[in-house]
Amino acid sequence: MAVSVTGIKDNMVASQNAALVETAATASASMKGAFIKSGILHALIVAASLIGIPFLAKEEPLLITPVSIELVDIAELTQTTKVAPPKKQEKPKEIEKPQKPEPPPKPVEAAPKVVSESPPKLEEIKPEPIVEAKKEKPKPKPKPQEKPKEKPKPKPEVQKPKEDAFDSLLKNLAPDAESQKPQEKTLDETLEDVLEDTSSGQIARLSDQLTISELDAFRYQLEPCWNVPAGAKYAENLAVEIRVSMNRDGSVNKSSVLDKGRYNRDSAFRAAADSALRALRNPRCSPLNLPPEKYQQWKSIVINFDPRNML
Amino acid sequence: MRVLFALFLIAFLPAVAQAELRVDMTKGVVEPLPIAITPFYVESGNQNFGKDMPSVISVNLENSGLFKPVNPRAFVQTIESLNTAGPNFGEWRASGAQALVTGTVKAAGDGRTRVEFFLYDVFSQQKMLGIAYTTTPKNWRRIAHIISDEIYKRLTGEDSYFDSRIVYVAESGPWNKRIKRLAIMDQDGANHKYLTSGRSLVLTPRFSPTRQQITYMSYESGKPTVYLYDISTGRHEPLGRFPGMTFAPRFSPDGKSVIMSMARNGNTDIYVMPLGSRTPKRITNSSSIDTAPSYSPDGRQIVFESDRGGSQQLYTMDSNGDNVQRITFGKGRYANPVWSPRGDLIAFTRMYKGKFYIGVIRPDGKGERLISNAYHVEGPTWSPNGRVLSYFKERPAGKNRQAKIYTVDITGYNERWLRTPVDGSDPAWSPLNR
Repeated sequence: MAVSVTGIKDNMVASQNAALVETAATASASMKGAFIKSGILHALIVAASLIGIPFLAKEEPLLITPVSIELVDIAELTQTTKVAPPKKQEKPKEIEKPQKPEPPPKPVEAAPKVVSESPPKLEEIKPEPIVEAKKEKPKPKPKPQEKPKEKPKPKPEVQKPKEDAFDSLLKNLAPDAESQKPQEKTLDETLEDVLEDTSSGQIARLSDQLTISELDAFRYQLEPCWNVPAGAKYAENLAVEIRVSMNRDGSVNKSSVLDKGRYNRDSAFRAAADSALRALRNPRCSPLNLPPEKYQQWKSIVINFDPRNML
Repeated sequence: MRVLFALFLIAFLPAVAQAELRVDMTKGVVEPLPIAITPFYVESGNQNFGKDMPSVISVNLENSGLFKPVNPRAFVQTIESLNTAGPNFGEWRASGAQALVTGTVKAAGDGRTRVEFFLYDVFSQQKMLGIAYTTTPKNWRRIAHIISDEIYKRLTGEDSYFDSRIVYVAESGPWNKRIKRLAIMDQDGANHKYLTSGRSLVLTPRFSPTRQQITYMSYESGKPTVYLYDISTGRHEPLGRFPGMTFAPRFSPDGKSVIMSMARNGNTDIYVMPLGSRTPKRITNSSSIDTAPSYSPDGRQIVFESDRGGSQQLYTMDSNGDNVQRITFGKGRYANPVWSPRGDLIAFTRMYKGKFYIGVIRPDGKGERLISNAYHVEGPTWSPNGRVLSYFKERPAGKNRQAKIYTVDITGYNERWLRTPVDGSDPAWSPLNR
C-alpha cells in the first residue's frame, strides 16, 4: 500500500517537472529579446551619462542651502577664554557649580556648657549707634555715594521671575526633577532687548564698537568676582544696575548704583548692590581687559548684575 | 515678519549703538565673603573678651557659610595701630579681606562693660557700621552673637539668626530603652541645658514665636498629649484634657494659640486651641488623616499633610479651613511641612523609594527642591530668618546607629553637624532672643 502511494507521488512529481521544463523553454525564447532591449537601453544610458546630452543640459540650478537661525543669548554660547584670559586669576571658576565646597559637617562649637539661663533681657543690652564715636578716626568718613552724572533711565524695578532656570546655584537632589529645563528667550524678549540696547544715542563707527568677544571676555573676567545673592528672599528681583566710570588702564575710577532710592530703603537690594560694587573693586578682577583703542566706547559702562538665571 | 524685523535690528545693531555701553552680567559665583575679624582692643576690664568675642563672631559667621574669616596670620596691622590710626585698607586688601571687623572693650565704671565694634568695606574704604553695647560682663557671649547678627544683616541685607536658641530631644541609652529628654542650647551649641527629666517620652518640641514657651508631645499621662513648657519657670502642663490623642502641635505666629492634630473615633483632624480660652476649635473635617499643621508667618494660611487624595501629600488652606489646595504632586510621601518665617518657602520631609529627603517648595506648589537626603532624615525647622534649616539624621540600626542634628543653608550647601552632648533629634529653632 505504502509503495503504490509512493509510486503515484513519483509520477506526479515527474509530470510537474516536465511542465516546468516546457515553460522554461518558451520563457527563455521570449526573454532573449528582452535582454537585448534592456542591454541596448542600458548602454544608451551609460553612454548618455558619459558623453552627456547637450540638448537636455540646462544650467545647474543654484542650490539654496537652508540656514537655520536661532536667536539666543550669545553669552551662553561663546567661549572666550582663548580670546582674553583674565590676567590675575589663577583658577577660572566653574560657574555652573557653586563654589562653596561642601565641607564635611563640622562641630559648631565644642564643649557646650551645661549651665544655662534665660537670655538677658533687652534692657540690659542697649545698642548705641556710634555715629561719630570719640575714638573714631575722622579719616574714613563715609562718603556719600557719588551722584550719577546723568539721570538714570527709569527702569521697571521688578523683573519677571523665571520659573525654571539653568545655571542654577541652588542644589536639588530631586530624583524625579523634570522641571529644570533651560529657558530660551522668546522672540518678544529678544526684540525688547534689542530695542532697549538701541535706545537713542550717538552713532559710533563700526570699528570702534566693542565686539561680542570683547564684551564676553569682559564678562568672563568679572564673573568670578561677583558673589551672587543666591539664597536671598526673592533674589530674582535683586538685579542691580551700576554705572562705572573706567580709567584708561581698565581699572575702575568710580562706580555708583543707579537706583539710589531703592538702595536706601531696601536692605536686601543694598546688600546685593554692595556685592556688585565689591566685584568691581576686587583686585582679582582688576584691571579689566578692554581694548585701549576703544576707550571712548567703554569709559562709561552701565553693568546690570542680574542673578535671575542662576537661581 | 517679526522674525525678520528682529534679524534686521540685530544685523544693524552695531551701527546704531548707544553712547553708553551696557553690559548684562548673568553669571557669577556663590562663595563665602572673606572677612577679617581682628582681636578686640581691651582698654580696661576682662582681657579675655578681646580674644573670646571675636572668636564667637568668627565661628558664627563661618558656620553660616556666607563668610570666610581670614586667617589672622595674614593680618599685618596690629590692633594697637588699628585703635590709634584706623584701618590701613591697603594692608587689609592685601590680606584678601573684603570686609573688616574691629572692636574695643572697656569697663564702663559701674561694673558693666562697654563694647564697640566697627564694620568696614575694605574695597570702598568706608565704614559700614559702628555700634556700642553696654551690659554686664557675663553677657559677653550674647553681645558677640548680637554683633554677629549686625554684621550679617548689613552684609547680606537679611535678618539674622545668631542670637537664638535651639530646643531638641536629647536621646541616650540603648535603642530599645531610649531615654528622650527636652534640652535647650544656643544655636552654636553653647549653654546646653536639659529641661525634662527623661522619665517619660517626649517628641516634637516647638518654640513659641513670641515668648519663652515650648509646646511638645509627651507620654507623661500615659497617652500622647500636647504639653506646654515655660522656660523661665521650668513649669510644664498639659495643654488641656482632650477626648482623644493630641499630637503635632505648633504655635500660631502671634503665640496666642496652638494648632495640632487630634485623633477621635479613629479619625484625625486639625484643631486650634487658643491658650486663653483653651477651647479647641476644629479646622478640618474629612475622613482622611489630616495632621502636621503649620501657619504661614502672617497667620492667614495653614500648610498640613493629608492622605485625602490617596497618598500622603501637602495641602494649604485658609486659617479657617476654607480654600484647600494641594501643593505637592511628586512621587512618594510628603510629611512635616513647616512654613518659613520669611514666608517664601515651605520645608518638608519626603519619602521616596526607601529614602528620606528634606526639601523646600514655594507655597504655590512650584519650585520644589530636595536639599538633603539620608537613610532617615526628618523634622526640618527654620532659623528665625528663614535662611538655614535644621533637621536630624539617623543612621540605620546596627553598631553605628546614631541620631544627629544638622544645619544647612537653603541653597542646599554648607551642611554642618551641630554637636550635642548626646544624640539629638527633633530640633526646633527659637525666634531671635529679643
